Amino acid sequence: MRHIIFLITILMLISPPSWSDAIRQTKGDFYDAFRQLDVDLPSPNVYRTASGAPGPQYWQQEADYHIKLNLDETKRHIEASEEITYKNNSPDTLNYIWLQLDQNRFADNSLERRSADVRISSNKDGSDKLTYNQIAVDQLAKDIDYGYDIKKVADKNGNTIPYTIVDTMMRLDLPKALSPGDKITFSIDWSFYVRLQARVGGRGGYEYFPDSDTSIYFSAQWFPRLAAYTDYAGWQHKAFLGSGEFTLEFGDYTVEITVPEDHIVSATGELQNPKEVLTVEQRERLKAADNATKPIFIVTPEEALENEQEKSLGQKTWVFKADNVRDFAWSSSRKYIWDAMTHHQDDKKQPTVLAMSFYPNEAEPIWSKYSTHAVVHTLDVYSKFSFAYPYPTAQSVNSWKSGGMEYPMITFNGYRPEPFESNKNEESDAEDNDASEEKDKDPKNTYSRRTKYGLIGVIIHEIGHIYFPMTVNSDERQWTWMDEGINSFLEYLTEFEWEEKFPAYGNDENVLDSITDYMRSENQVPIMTNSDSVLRLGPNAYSKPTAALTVLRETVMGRELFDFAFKEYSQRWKFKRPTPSDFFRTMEDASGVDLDWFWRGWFYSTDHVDIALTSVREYKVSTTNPEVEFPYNMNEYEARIPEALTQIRNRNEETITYLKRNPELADFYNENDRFTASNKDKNKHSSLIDGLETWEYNALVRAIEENDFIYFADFENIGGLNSPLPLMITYMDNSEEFLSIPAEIWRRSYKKVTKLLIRQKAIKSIELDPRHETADTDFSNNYYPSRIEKSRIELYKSDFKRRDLMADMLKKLRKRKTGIDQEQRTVPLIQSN
Amino acid sequence: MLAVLTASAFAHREPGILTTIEWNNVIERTEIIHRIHTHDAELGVAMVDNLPLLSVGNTEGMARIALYVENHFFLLNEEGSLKIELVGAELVGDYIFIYQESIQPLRTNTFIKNEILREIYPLQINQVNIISSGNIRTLTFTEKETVLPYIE
Repeated sequence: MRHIIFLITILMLISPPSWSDAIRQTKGDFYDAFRQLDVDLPSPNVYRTASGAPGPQYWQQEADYHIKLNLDETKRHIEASEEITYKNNSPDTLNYIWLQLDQNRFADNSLERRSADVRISSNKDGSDKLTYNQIAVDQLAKDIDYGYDIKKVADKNGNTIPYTIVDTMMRLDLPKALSPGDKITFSIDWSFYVRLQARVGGRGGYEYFPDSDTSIYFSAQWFPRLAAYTDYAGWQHKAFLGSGEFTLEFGDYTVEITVPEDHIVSATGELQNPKEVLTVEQRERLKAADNATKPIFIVTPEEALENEQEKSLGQKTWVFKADNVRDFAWSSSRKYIWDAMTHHQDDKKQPTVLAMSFYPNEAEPIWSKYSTHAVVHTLDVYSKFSFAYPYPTAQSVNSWKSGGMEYPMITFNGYRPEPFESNKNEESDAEDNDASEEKDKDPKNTYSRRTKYGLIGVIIHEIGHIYFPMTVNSDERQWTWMDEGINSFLEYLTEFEWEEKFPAYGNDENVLDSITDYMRSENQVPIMTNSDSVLRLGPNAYSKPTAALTVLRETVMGRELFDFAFKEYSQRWKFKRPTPSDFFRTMEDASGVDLDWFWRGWFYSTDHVDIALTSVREYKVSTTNPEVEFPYNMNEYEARIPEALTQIRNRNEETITYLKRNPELADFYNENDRFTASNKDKNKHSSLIDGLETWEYNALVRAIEENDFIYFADFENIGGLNSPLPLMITYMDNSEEFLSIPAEIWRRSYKKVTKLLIRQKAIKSIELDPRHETADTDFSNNYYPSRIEKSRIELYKSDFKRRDLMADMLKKLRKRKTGIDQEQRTVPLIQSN
Repeated sequence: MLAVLTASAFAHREPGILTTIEWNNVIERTEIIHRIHTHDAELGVAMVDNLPLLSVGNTEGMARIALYVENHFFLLNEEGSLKIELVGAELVGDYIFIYQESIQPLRTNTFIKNEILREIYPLQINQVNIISSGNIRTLTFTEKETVLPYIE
C-alpha cells in the first residue's frame, strides 16, 4: 500500500502542472506566456461584468448593530448584548444565517487548540524541552475559561432562536425563512474573558504594565458578527484558524462602552456623548483640534500619568456611532495620552477628518511626534491614488509593544522607544549614528532609527487598510493579497512621499531588490492561492504583490495609465466586494494595455525574473567587394593575431632568410598573400551586386555610406517570468543611451530572444536593468562585457574596522559568557517514575 | 494545550528567517548568510537570553544575536556537526545579517538543523535556500520540522 501511495505521489510530482487546463500545449516545449486568461477567469455575469465592474444586479447583504458592553476590569471580563438587523439583499431565500465567533478560537476545545501540537523543539541533546511561556499559557487556560459564553439568542419578541455552534461559527435556524429583500432583527447576549495578549496571542486582549499595575484593553473580533454571504462563495464560514483574516458585511453601528470612569476610550466611529465622558477642558481641546494643523493634546502626558495613579472604581459609558462600516473595534485604558488634528480634503461629503492617536507614556516621545502626522499623511496619499477618506475619524492606538492590526477608523499599532541606558558607553554602529544626538540627552527620551521608521511604516500600513479592505471590501479569508498586497504597495508609495530614502525595505529601499530572494526560492505558491494555503504569507501576500504592482506602474504600464486604472478600480469597488478577476479586468479595461501575460506570470505562477544578457556580437555592413574587404580583413587579422615573437626577433637581429639569399625561389604566392583578391573573388562580388533588386542595392549603398555598427544581443529567460528589458548602452565615447524593450519581445520565443541594435557609434558596454526595475534576481549575468560581483560576505570582510570591532566583541562575549544560556531558560524537567 | 506567543505583527509582517547557503568559488568557501528582521531578532534573543535591554543598534547586541544564531543552526553528517565559522554580523536597514563560513562545500545528504528563534515564534517559517550550480534547493523549516536533509 505504501508503495502505491509512493507511486501516486511520484506521478503527481512529475505530471505537467497544467492537467486541469482547458488548453494545453502537447507538442514540443513551447509555453505561451502571452495566452489570454479568458479561460482561467470566472465567467462574467449580472453581478460582475467582463470589464471588471460591479454588474447591473450586483448585491451585498447589510447588518446593523446596536451593542452594549461592560468591561469589568477586576475580573478582566466583558458582558455584552447586541441587537442585529440583517437585511437579505441577495436573490436567495435563507433558512439559516451564520455568525462568526472568533473568540472561540481561544476556547479550550477549539479546532485550533485541538489541532495544535508541541511547537518547541528539543534541546541540543535531543531531550524534551518545555519553556516557561508554554507552562504559563497552560496555567492560564486552567484558570480561565476563554471563548464566548453565549447566554441567549432571541428574536424581537424575546423568543429563543435555536442555534448550533461549529467552532468559530454559529448557525441560527430562523423561525421563518428570510426572503430576498426581507430583514430580521434578533439579539444575542454573551460574555467572555479578556486574554493577556502577550501570552495567549490573538488580535486583541489586554497588555499589563506591572510597574504601575495598569493595563491597556483592546478589543477586536470581540462580538458575534454576521458572516459574509456573497455571490461568489455563498456563506463565508470557513473556520478561523488564526491566519486568513475576515470579510464582513457593511452596516451601521451604535455601541455603548461602559468602562472605569478614569479610562479614555478610542473606537470605530464618532463619540456621541462627549459631555458625559469628557471634562470641559477636554471638550474645549477637542473643539480646538477641529482646526488644528498640528496635533494638540486632548489628554496630556501628565494627565495620563495622574489617571494611572487614580484607579477609580466608578464607571462611565462612552457611546459611539459609525455608519457604513464593516466592523467595530475599540480600546480603553487609564494610561492613554490623546492627541488630535484635522485633515482637510477635497470632498463634499467628508471635507474634514479628525486624525487622532492614543498611547501610554511608555510610547513617548516618539508617538506624540509622529503618530497623528503619519495618519494625516496616509489619508493624503491614499486619497490621491483611490478616493477621499470616507469616514469622520482615523485613529492610531498604541495598544501593544509590537504588531499592527486594522479596523474601520481605528488601528492598533506597535513600536515603542527602546531603552538605551545600557549602551551609553559603547561605540554604536553607523546605522544608529543618526540617533546619537538624541542619545546624549535623557535616555528615556531616545528612540532608534528603526523604531522611528518602523512606527511610521506600521501606522501608514494599518491606516491604509481603512481603504483596503475596510472600504474596498475584498475577502481576506480567500485572498490575502487583495488587501495586504495592494495596501503594502500603497504603503510603499506613501513612505516614499513621507521622505526620500525612507527605509521601506531595509536600506535598499527598493522592494524589487528585497523580493528577489523569495522569488527565486523553490518552495513557493503563486500569489493566487487561498489565504490559509499560502506558504510564507509575508512575501507571498505582501511584498511580492507590492513588487508586481511597482513593476506594473513604473515599467510596464507607466504611471499615467496605471494611476488612472487603479483609481478606477478603487472607485468602482468602494463599499463593494471585489474579487481578483475584478481587479485584473479593471486594470486592463481602464488602461487599454494587455496585461494577461503579467497576471499569468506574477500572480498565477511561481516563476521569477532572471534574464541573462548572454552574448553581444558586433558587425559592420560588408561592401562584399574583395578589393575593399580583403585589406580590411588583413588589418583585422593582424590586430587580432600578433606576429610570432621568433620572427620579430630574427628581423631585429637582421637575420637574412634563405629566400632573401635566393630571390629566384620567389613565386606568385610570395607576391600575393591570402588577403589579396583573386579574379574569382572579384567575379563573385560582381554577380552578387548584379543579382540585387534596385531597392536592395540602394539599401546596401546607403548602409555602406552610413557605416553603422550592428549588434546582435542575445537574451535568455532563465527565471521563466517574462520581463521588459531595460538597457543602458554606453558607447566608446562614454555617452549613454537608455532603451526599454517591452516584454512582448518574448511572445513567440519564451526562452531565448535576440535583439538587433543598429547604432552610429561603437558600443562599449550594455547593462540590463541598470535601475533595478524588473526584480531581476541575478545581476551577475546582466552585463556585456561580463563582470564578477563580490559576495555579501566578501564585501563585509573588506570593511576592516567594522569586521574587527565585531570580531573583538564576539571574542569578548564568548570568554565572558555572562548571558544566561538559553537552555537554562527552560523549565527543569525530571522523568516521572 | 499550548498556545502561541505572538510577539509579532499580524497584519504587517510575519516572522521568518531566510538563510542562503552558497559555495563561493573565489574564496573557496561555503558562505552561509542568515537574514533576520531586526525586530524579531531583538525581541527574540532578548527574551531567550533574558537581556531586556538588548539592542541591535550596537555591536554587543548584534554579536549576541550572532552567537545565538551560531547555537541554533547546524550542519550535521554521520560524524556529527560540521565546523562553521562565525564571520560576523551587520545591520542592513530593517534586517540583521549574520555571516558564517565553512571551508567544505555542502554535500548532499547533509542534515540541516535550523532552530533560530523557533522557541519564540513557533509559527514562523525559516527558509534555507541552497544554491548550487545556479540551481536552488529550498528547505522550509516549520514548528514540526526543524531538521531537514539537503537532497539534490
